[in-house]
Amino acid sequence: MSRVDTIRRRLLLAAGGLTASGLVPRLSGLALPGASAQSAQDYKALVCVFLYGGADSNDMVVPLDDYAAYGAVRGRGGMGLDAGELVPILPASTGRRYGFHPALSDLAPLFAAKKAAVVCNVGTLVAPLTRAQYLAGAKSPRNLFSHSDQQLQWQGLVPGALVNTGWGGRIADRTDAGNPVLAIPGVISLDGDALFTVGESSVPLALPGDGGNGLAGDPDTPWGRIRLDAMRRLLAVERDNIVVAKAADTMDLALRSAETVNRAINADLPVVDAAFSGVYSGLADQLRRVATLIAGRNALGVRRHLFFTAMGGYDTHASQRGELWSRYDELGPALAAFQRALDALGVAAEVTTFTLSDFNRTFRVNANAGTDHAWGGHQIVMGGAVKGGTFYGTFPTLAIGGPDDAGDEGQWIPTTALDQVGATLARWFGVPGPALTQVFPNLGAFAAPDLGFLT
Amino acid sequence: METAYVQARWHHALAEQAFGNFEGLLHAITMSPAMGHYLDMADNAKADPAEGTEPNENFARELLQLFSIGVVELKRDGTPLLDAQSQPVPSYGQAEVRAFARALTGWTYAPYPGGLAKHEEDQRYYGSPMVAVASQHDTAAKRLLRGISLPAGQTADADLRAALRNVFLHPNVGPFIGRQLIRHLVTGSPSPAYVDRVAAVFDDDGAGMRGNLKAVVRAILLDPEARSAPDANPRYGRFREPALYVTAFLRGVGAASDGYQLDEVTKAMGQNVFYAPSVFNYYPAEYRIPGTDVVAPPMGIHNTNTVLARSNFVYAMLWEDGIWPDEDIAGAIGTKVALAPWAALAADSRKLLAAIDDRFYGGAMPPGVKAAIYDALVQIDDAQERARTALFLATTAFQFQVGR
Repeated sequence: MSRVDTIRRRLLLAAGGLTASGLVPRLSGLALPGASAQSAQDYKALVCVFLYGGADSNDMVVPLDDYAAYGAVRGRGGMGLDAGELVPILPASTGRRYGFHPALSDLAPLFAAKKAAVVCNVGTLVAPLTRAQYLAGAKSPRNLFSHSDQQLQWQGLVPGALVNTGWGGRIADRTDAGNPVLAIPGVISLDGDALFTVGESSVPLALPGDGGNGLAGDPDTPWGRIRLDAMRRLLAVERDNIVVAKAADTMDLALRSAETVNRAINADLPVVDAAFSGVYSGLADQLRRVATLIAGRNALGVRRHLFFTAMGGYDTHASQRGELWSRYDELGPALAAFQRALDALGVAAEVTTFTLSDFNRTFRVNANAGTDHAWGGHQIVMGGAVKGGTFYGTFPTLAIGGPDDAGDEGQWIPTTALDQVGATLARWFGVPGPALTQVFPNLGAFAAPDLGFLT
Repeated sequence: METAYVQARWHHALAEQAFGNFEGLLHAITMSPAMGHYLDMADNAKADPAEGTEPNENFARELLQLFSIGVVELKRDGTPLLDAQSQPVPSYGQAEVRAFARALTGWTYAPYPGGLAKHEEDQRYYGSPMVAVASQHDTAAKRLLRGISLPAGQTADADLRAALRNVFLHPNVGPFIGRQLIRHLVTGSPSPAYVDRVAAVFDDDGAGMRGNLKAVVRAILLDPEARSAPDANPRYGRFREPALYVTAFLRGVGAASDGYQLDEVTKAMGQNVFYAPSVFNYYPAEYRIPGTDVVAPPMGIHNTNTVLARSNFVYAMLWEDGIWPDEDIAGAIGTKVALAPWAALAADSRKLLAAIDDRFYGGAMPPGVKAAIYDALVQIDDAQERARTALFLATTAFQFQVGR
């Protein structure tokens, strides 16, 4: 271990102190009622993989039999993919061949095995929208093409409002994932704070993608106990200030959950290790930890899990070919390893994984062999419950200034609303029908509230 | 960008301009080769029909969204201007972003001084501002903010200066930048009246100058809302971001440090200093605490994991000998806390607490905090342990972590 790691390890790997039984007495009272009786059938998990920066999906899935339209625009400017590089797939819905980005080749077998699907041209919408309507000034989401605003809209999904909750959190509020009596939240982020995970009543837990999650210092010494008792008391006093109170609540949740969570994330799971063998990246670490937490679901006492994972670096304004290749080379193997782990744990049908991103990127190329901010793009859904091997929604017409372009840069107007994708996932997860419009208040604006990509 | 000389020059530029004029600051960051590299203004060329390429919009968009005016029109008090349907009014659209991208085409890295041969793999020189490349500049007319146009045929430099002036004169700049500075310097949720007073100084420093940052900072720090007793306002306060929490602790406790590995410390707390995850920095500038209307940007990286890293840092400093020095560097000291002065006071718990209150709380440690710490101290029969425990509890208490 290099010296550079030393202090970080001491801050993050401080799990040892919390294995002592005295620290979290409330947890022993949890007793996990019915946990041993839970079968896999009682369990479901949603796993979000957020691609920060606006992932270019024009290079994620490329028409192969109809390559010419892609090649005419992307084949210039020193950026595009050659037809021969693409990894062919034959979506049942199209009958025409498409190709995954070469770095996403691991997804092709999953697609062929019907464990993965592509939802085409998804984005934020107020209502269904045509090019003519858009150019005539019809209502569209606020602050399109802005990272921060579109990230908040993708994660929040309450159009027209400065939202303070995310649709993952709102799903949790209405399922067992958000059960407030649970000591361990069912919503867990492996990438720090994310609006997606914030509910009206449920509070997310944040865990590091690697390393421990404990408080330093042995609580089983007399002085250690005095220190911790005082820490707890401090969390409960002088709370008139809202910032102080909320910051303290986070520590309270960390202390209450740490022992049980650390036991789960430190579990020895050879099948998960094998599934991730040779796959090393920040996202792989996060997904590996998700698999570990899923394996520990009974000990955590959670029947509905909602996980948030993420990777960044998708804002490929320059040198996109190499940059995006590196990103997808992290994404594809990590997703495939995660699915292998779920298969090995026997929970493939209970876990559905899906990607989200700020927006797609312009189809046209900029002066730095990169692309700029755009709108509708493709998302991947993966899992045993996915009716895969096909496309959902409508693949856009790859034409600058064409019927799907919001202008003349290749910014596709979405033909499927993110609300529809979210509602499809939420219904499968167990949100009751009438509650779907509470989670997705704008769902009624779109004809199909269920896209049918899940069993 | 990892190169120290790039980062150092960038931070020097910010420091030099911090109390200057905002227009000068905008010009300095726009011409900076570090920014040119980061947001792709360097080597951004006019449209090339043969290649099918168009100007890169990266810098143009963030110049407007993040560095100057924001996405919606603001009143001087920072609240959004609303249209007849009570909806916010966008301050620009895709057309303006493209126009700015075109206006800012035609810049590249300066040549290495003295005609030195450039490094073969890296032709980028970061020691001087970028220079114009006339052939890459888009000379057609451009329509910018508030309907103001740049005429055709201008040089890259003339277009750049006029474009920045167009941004600088937008009425949003005062409230937008003023509120950001208030959030960093004083409180996350300032009243509209406070923002208005600061924006008024931005618009006119009293001597007829717009954008005088020294006057703006003075107005922020001397405002009644910053000077009055904060206890009455439950939304008042500034959650200390990791870098400032760490430095506040080390300064307050009296540590000696060569800085080694302190970046690892803040990284564990969610702030990888000098490596912000995106141009949006370490946390959202307008982050609201869930379930409240309170803005506290650094709370955007506060969660059940980073909160433990903050405590564990203080623990490591007090009980685990701080940060050990880099063995490979002669004279390296790492980071060490001098406990002796605190332990010397610890014979009397009240005296110790009073000194800690004075140093870390400005003498305003809330009574409930004081009582909780005192009741712990009287159970400990060792002076050094009492000093450690008192410092730990006082500096990990959120009444300290939130600066007021």
